[in-house]
Amino acid sequence: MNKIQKIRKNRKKDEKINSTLNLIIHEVKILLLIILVILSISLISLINQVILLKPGNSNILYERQPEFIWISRYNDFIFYLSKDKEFSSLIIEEPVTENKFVINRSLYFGEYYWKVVAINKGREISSGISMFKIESLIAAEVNETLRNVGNSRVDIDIIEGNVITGKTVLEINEEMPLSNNKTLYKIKQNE
Amino acid sequence: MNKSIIIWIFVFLISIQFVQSLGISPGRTTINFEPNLEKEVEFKVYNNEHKDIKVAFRIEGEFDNIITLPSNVIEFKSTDDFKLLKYKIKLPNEIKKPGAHNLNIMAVEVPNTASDGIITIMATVAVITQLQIVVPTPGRYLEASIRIAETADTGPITFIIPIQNLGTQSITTAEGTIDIIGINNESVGKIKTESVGLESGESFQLQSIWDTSNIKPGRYLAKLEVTYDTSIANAELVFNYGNVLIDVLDVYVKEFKLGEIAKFHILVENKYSEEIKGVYATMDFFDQTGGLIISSKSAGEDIPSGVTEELETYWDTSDVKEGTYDSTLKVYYLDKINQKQLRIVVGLNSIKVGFVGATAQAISVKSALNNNTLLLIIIIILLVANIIWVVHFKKREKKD
Repeated sequence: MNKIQKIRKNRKKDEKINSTLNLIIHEVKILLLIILVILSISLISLINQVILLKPGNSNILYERQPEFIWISRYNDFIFYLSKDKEFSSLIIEEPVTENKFVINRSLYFGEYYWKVVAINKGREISSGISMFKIESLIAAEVNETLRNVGNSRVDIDIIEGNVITGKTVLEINEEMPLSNNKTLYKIKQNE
Repeated sequence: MNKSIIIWIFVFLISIQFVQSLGISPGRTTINFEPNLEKEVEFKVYNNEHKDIKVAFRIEGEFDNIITLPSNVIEFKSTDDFKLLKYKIKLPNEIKKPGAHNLNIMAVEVPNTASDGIITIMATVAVITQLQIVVPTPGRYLEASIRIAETADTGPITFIIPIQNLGTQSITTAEGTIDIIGINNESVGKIKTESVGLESGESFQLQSIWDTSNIKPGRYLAKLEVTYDTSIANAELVFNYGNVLIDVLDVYVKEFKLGEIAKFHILVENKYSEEIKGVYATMDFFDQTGGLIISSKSAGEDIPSGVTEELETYWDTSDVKEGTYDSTLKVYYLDKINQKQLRIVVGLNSIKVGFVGATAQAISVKSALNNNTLLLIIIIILLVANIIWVVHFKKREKKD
């Protein structure tokens, strides 16, 4: 008798565990479904957006002709580049049919704002606004010559024994011959 | 053991290329003057060659006592890409002179043996980060200049127009117009720039491209007018457009009999916008082995703009046989030379002259590989060969 009761008790216990497990599984399923729905909605909304990728927001660049990349399912865009976030000082406003824009001019140092507006069936879908900063880099490489490897045109003062013996201007990547070993070349931003 | 030896040999061989490379960023930091302003300014020093180096700093310029550097010397390990540093500034109560005042913070690579106190500067480069203190002019005031971006001798010209707001007030719109004036004071083009707004102390570079497809080479004047809000800033630039100003149109010999003196007619056109004085030509005649037979020089001519003129050189053919000869024609004008390679076919009763296209002298082909790259490639090949050899040797050892 005792044995039968014990078996019944165990069975009840098992049933209880099973029902709890089933409940948990059911709830996890609902949760997964909710996550899936949220993900789907996010994905759909993302698909309908224009997302700016590169240069990233608040990035500091030394490249003065940066490449602009974004993702979007649309094909026709207008690319905007401005000195201010209100886009009142427009530098570039150009129609584009790719998800990128390669600038054909060298940008001056400072902060810039960019955005992309997709055009779809007469409707305009604007991206967010992204800011980047171009900073000047003064750099020189001395090997057999002195080469301007920075991103700015530079002034060079040639100094021998505390006396300026020459001055020159080097464009980006331009090089000049070196004189003797005791010469100091002072290099500063010209632009 | 072998591996480490190979790595060390590699490191040694790479390090024998003595390259010095130092960078600093930003090249300039601009601040607007405020009485007694205290501020920290960040800058980065780059160890481009990834070497163990020491970099020393020195300040020069007016008000050099307003800057306090974190240290006079910093050390880089070969693993350091860059170091982020800060200097402190404390502005005086007053700077009377309006405009931009520059201070240079100079970074110099110093030999590792130098002590912190005494720095001996060898042949080296000093890269500078500038601190520009702008004492604004009351109201709106903009300064503008104009220059030409590095461009090819032909094709469109890009004008670069640096502008800086040196006034106390911000500028809503600044827009440039460039009027390009020819040698006879005639306007040959008018171009506009984009329009930008500038905060007080802010700088920008406007740009504009001039289509030169219908423009003759010559000297021009670019008159810049930057309209900002209700005021105007002006600047001017005289520039040359184009390189080949005297073009060689034709070279021919009219009547000729072998043994006589051949008269070479050299037709040249002045494509410059002004008269060019004292244009002359030389012709060097070479035999089949490349030996110089004779050089001949024409008289000098003054050629007005747009005019085709004839220069004459002579070749005494009394000792010349029938055959093909090479010649170098050089037309001298201003401080330039227009050089052409010619092929001359001498017959009994005629001389035919033809232009040779690309010549060895005219085109100097730069080797894509410089010595350093070549050395590096050889080292890598040797290393790979060594590694293969070591592996092969080890395998054979195991087999034995």
